Amino acid sequence: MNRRTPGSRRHLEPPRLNLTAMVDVFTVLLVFLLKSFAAEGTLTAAAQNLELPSSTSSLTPQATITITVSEDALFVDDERVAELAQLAGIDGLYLPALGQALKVRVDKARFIAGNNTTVAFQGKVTILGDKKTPFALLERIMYTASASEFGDIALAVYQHSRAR
Amino acid sequence: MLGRLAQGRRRPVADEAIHIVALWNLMIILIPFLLLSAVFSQTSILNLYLPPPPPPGAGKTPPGAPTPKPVVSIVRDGYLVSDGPTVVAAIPLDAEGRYQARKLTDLLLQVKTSIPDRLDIVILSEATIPYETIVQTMDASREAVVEQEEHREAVPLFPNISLGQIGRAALAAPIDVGDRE
Repeated sequence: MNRRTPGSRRHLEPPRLNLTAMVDVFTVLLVFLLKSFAAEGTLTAAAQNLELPSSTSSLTPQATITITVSEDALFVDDERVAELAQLAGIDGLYLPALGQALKVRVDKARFIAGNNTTVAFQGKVTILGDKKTPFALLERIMYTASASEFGDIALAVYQHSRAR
Repeated sequence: MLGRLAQGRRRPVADEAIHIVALWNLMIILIPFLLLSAVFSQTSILNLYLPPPPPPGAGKTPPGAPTPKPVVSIVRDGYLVSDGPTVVAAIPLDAEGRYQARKLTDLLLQVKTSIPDRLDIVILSEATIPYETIVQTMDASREAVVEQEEHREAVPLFPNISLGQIGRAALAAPIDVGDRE
């Protein structure tokens, strides 16, 4: 009788789940994810239907103004400036819609640089292009960018290891 | 007496439990959110080299400039490599219709040995060539991986890359390879 009492008492206690190991895993995962979230970089694609080409380049992207060429539209930063279908009808290399959007940003950067001497307008732009973009369009974008005082052009790519 | 002793012994055991319900809730929310927003593919950039503009009034660069400049033309049928005014080689598409970037690298390695100081290259392409092909070509002309004594080494070829369209006067390099075909 006396022996059965502890057994029955143990039975009455609520079963406790040992979560220590899981909490450990989650804490590590949480720290890792928060870190990767913070170090994600500056390149975020504005458009959904956009696949960058892959390259072996390992240069880190910089925080610049971005021009995004998706399958159907052209973006400057997150602003949709033109539809690709409309651009085909424009003669010449210069794209007025893109040029205007870039000019607004140049003016803004110049204004900031005028008031704050630690900031200088560097004319850097990063192009995020879909991998199927024909070269003719890319050339027009690059031409418009350099005509709008963005002379330092970088192409954004997915980094992949060298296969050989 | 015995029962009280047993109770007294059990209490510290019951106090061991830490209240982590709040932490738990936080994690349950945060982890799916961060997993969703995490980007596991690494992005990098390729820098373009824009040649300095010619002084005003200088006109077009005369053909056959003194120093030969390597030019890779991407045409529909493959690569065309020219070294200054002369076409060095043509690399056709492979059997599956892909551009042979590896062969281009090998060829440019040979070109590099004759002009070791040059760092710039012009890549000309046709209007319809997809961006991905251009990036592959840029990769092939940027650096070569040479196997040396059981380890691989990246040898820079022509890292200053300019782009242009075949047969376009405004952006064309000293020569128009397109006219040559």
